[in-house]
Amino acid sequence: MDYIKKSPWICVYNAGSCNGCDLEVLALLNPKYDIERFGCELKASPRHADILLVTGIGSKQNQKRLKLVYEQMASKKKVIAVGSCAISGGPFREGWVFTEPVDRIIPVDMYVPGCPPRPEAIIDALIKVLEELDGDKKDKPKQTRRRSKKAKK
Amino acid sequence: MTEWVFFVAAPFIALLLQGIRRKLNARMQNRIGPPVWQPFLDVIKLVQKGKSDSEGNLNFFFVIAPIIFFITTWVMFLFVPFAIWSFEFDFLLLIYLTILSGGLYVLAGFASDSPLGVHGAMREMITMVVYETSFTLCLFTFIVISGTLTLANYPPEGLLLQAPLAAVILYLIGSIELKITPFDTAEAPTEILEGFSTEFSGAGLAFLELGDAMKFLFFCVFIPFLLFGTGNMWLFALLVLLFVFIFTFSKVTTPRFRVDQVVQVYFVVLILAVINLAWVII
Repeated sequence: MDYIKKSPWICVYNAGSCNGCDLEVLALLNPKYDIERFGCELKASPRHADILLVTGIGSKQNQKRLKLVYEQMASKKKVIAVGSCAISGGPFREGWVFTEPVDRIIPVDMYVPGCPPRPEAIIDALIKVLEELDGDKKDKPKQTRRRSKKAKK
Repeated sequence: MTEWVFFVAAPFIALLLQGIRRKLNARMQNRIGPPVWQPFLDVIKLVQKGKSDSEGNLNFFFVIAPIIFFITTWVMFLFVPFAIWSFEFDFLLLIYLTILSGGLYVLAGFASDSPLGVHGAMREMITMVVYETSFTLCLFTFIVISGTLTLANYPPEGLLLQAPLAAVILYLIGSIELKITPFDTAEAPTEILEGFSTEFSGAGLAFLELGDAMKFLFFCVFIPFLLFGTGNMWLFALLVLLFVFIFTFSKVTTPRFRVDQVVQVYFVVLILAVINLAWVII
């Protein structure tokens, strides 16, 4: 069994956001939304984290650092792009700091649209990413072989 | 027999206590909080997960510091609350072990080869100079009163009435050893990303978490052991839970001191420890 599903630790990286999305991410920890009930913890260091939440446009100054933060995470990592800035540049698309969206800099597994997105949407994305971890397991050769044998019988 | 069961089960009890503490923490903030067995899942996940490629992995001490830290904290349960391994000067060895577990934080921080880790280690070193001295002086008070250096001969009714000042000192020392606010300056997750544990991942981090949980259990057991004794085991267990509550309450309700403020506070504690010792001797 994969225990990442039971205790996903989260790290937030602000890649040139206006702080709107960061406040919504912080709202995940308050009594109303409380993601700690899923075993999540907000970790300061990317080396401890399993899931990276990226907010902001990934500006020129931030690209190198964003890559570094992604590389520092241990294997089996997932990335969630939070907010329309991280998806496409949002209102800053025409600005001179915007070069390319976050998913061109690092691989992104899930997108949460909205400016800023609601905390419910971020929780939904988190749970879907965790389900995806199960999906990875189904692709392993051992299980598919067993299934094919059963299907033949 | 009970002694050995407690010693072997100490990591599990510590993790369970950590879960209770997190649940309590959440309930105090009006949240639902994680399930009580959450720390077990965390540790299993960390062991399952691989290490990240840190430059520290090449350093021998970086690899070995969390393991020594875990073993050191486990060995402390040989002496407290049941004297399983008893010899003539085991009180002194216990003092040495508690200081060593603080020193291993410093080793882990410097070995991690990261500015944040080094910052954490330096903060720990600065505060260690003050708080370990007052801790040792405070424990000498108990040695002087009980007149024994063997923990097996320690009076089972406790020594709170002979040295009431020591209760305050032990509480303050406990909260800085366990990195509980307002004295968690060496760890400070929002300033220096948890200091010495920043670079750790995988099994190393799991050992650090286990060691931290066991250190928490140790101090929750050690303070009632010194002050109230183990005469009545039920009362003793209640007092352990009371200390868990007090430490959690402190963690939830207080903000953090700066390094210089922590040192100032612990200079006052050092003076209190000296007064305490002088009062007992005279």
